[in-house]
Amino acid sequence: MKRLACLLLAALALAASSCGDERGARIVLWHSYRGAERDALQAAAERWNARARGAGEPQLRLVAVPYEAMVDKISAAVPNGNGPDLFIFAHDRIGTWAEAGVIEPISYWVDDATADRYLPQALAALAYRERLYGLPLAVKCTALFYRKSSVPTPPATTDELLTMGRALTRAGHFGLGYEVHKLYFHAAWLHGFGGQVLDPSGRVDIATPAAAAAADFARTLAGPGGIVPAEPSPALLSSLFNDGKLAMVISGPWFVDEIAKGVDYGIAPLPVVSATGLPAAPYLGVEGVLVSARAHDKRAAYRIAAALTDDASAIARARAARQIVPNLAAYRDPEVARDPVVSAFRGAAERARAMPSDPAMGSIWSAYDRALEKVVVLGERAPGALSAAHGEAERYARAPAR
Amino acid sequence: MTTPEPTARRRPRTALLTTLAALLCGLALAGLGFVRARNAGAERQSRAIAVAEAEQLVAEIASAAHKGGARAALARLEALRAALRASDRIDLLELLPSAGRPFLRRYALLATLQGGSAGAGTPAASPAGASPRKSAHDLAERARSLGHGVAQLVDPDAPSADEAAATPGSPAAPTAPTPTHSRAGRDGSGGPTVRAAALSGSYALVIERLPAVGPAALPGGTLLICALLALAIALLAGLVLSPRVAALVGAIAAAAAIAWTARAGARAVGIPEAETARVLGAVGALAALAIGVLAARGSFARALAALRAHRVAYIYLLPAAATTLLLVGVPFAVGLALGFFDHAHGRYDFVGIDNFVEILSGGGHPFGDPLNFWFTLGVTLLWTFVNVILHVGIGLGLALLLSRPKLRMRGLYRVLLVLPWAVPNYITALIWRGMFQQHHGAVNSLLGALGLSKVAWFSSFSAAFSANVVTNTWLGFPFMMVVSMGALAAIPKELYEAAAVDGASRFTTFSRITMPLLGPALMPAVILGSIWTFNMFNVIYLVSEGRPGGATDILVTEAYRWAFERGDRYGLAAAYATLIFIVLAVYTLLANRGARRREAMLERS
Repeated sequence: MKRLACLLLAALALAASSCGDERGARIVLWHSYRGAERDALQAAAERWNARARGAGEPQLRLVAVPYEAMVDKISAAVPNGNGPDLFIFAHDRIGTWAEAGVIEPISYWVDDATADRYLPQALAALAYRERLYGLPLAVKCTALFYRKSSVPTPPATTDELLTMGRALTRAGHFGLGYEVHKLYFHAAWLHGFGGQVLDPSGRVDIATPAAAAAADFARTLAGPGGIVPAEPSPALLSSLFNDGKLAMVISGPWFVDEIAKGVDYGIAPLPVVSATGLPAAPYLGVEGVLVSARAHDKRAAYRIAAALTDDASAIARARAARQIVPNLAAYRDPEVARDPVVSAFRGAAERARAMPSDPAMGSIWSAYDRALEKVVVLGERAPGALSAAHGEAERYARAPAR
Repeated sequence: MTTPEPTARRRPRTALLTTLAALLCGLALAGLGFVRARNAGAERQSRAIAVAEAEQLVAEIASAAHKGGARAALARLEALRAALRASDRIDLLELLPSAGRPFLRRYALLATLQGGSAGAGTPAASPAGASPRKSAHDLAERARSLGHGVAQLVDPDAPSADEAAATPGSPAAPTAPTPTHSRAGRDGSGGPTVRAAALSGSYALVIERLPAVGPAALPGGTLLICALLALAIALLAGLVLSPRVAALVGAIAAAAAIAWTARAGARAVGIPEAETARVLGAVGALAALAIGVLAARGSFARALAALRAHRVAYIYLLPAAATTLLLVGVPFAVGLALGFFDHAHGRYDFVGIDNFVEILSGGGHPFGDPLNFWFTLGVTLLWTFVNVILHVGIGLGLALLLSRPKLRMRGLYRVLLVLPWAVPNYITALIWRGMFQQHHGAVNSLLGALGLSKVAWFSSFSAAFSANVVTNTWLGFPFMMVVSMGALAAIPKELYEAAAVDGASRFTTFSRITMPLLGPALMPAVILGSIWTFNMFNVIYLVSEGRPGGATDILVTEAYRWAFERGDRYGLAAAYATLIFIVLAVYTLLANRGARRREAMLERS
């Protein structure tokens, strides 16, 4: 009995202390950064906290949440009032979260000086239905990685890419590698051929001649007699590239960490599509600091978001974690400008097109991936496969209730 | 177990107790319905009144602003001050556009009029955390995004708001080119807050007011009379009739009383919300009836007697039963219920059996399409059948080999053969997927070394299906082997000795002794194995990933894709889960019945 009482007392004391902890003015931020990126964010948070102590501003506390768990945790916790005040996530979920009332529009607080800090398309990506929901922290898009030993100058057009790739493809060796059956990677060709998945008013627009031409081009690259290895999983691509059996890879900044030491490689923007003369514009993914609709002090949360994404923080993040920051001023910093990876991806990001954040995308990704598989792997005709995907996406892209 | 017959003295008590229990249970349900309906009704009424008032105010100021700009609007605001209540607040906002960035336009506050006092009054209560100016901006933005001619506004925070949202173009402002919109929302504090916004050119007006309309009164008199009547009937019946019939009569009286009270309550609440009160009232009456029927059949008396007789056993069972109810029962019930809802953008709408209709009708996909339920069901059944045959065949064969008495190093073989089972199955699945890779996988390298051509494992249904089956057989046979070995060890050795004495051949011994005696022991394992295989998510999801084109997906991976890969259709996925449950429940029932019949036959022979 005595032991039980002791235990109860201890539990009560613990509960009381954690309550006291909560009561202090605090803004909680959920993120899923690891390694250098986490350290850079931590440093930015500490800078804010040092400044905030004197100014009577709330303190910022960072909580790491695994990337895979973030969507479910946010969607479940925020509507019940248990979520964070701020969180960092890719912008493509914004539409769904805005419709569900999970995130707060922040347009009211953003002044022109703040807005002018960022690459215009990076800021615009965080807007949904003419309302801004976050400030950009980093951008991601794909570019062409090439081994300098086999590709002295990167291809400028798709015709050059094909010629070069064919010359480099022989038994066990391949000219180009990318995840062919994924819309995320295919989008560059789609845009280069003049296609899109959603029209500007948000309607599904998949079954078009331009999209068929892009899918046929993907089959030329990866179908029978192509230059792309079969079943190109990320692990396969990095091991082939490191072994010297793959000359070029289309991938994003995360691929840099996959490349073995000693491999002499370069990064170039994707080539121009010869058939149309348009650049192959990959999808731009923007990691933004988003304000929860249930934050207990939304204004303070916004001020912290602005501080975390200011130029000084961006330069520190670009230097320490090689983040592709959207702040224009960061690239005037000599150290950042010298970094070949960061500046190459900055150039690629300028050509990129923001990934749609419309909730309709939820049903488009899988439908489109299946259509690509049908065309490239199973050899079906592109218009038929695309119109099946169009019908499927349209069926399930239900209009949001307003 | 016999029913303890109550003595004559206790007769009225049984009927009274039953009636009271029925009344309490039914009234609790009906009362819940009434309270919910009453709150919704009060909210709707007060919102409707306040919206009408707010609209009129806003329309007058909007027309002034339209004619003479902000200054005229301000003048009109001042003139209208007398019409404001103490809880009212009006904000006049001006739109500040942002060149090239439409998502940064902002409604800035020009003036605020507080009920009773002019100028920038004290800010009224506003949603937690948001500054009052920001919330006015948000409301104006919302009205703006509706555009011209949009009549309804659904607020996710207030589901019944669509009824209250007023139509554009109030009669007071017929000349204003921009429509007047109203928005009704629920404030964090106290009762409903009505907020209405009007746009005129680049100006916006937002009015907030906190109306108070009392909720409908509880029909207390009707409730008291009905309950007393029901109890009186029960007392009378208890004196005259046998206890069981009396209990039933009492419960019927209670049900009638509940139904009558619920009707009175529904009338008091008002038209649209009365449905909740009526439905829950009917459920309450049915519950009361059910209690009566159970009491009349003596179920409660029997349950009570059993509880008394085996008190200790039930106390020991209580923690496990409660945990099971909490961890299995609740999610199961929620999942079952979710199948009748449709989820879109964080909202759940009741759609009845639409999800089931969509699934069972194939959802508009032809039979050969992998998205058609019947195609997937066929694949799933084929998958289960092929796997279970292979698992049992290989497992039994190995068990027979291992149970040979002369075998050496049996322990080593046993450990090696059980290993696939000991490795987590998703790791095994990932390894097998790597081995089936077209260019560099071990399987194709082996085929190449043998001089055979390489197979594109995931480009055709049969190849991808075979790859899945190979992986799952690797994972599944050890279980069957272990079960078979146990069952083989349980067969009495005398039978074999007797067979040997009689000169039976090895085949006869196997078919006449081993097989019939293995059957009953293997049957539960086969049922369990088929259920596992039927729902073997990891192998399908990780090895073939549904390729080609979703053809190798089974029901459980399909349900997952509907929930998480095709636009968050949780309701449809839950309906899939329910259908999977039904298929497996029917299969288990049939298999168990078959097993029992065979066992009975075996015993008879």
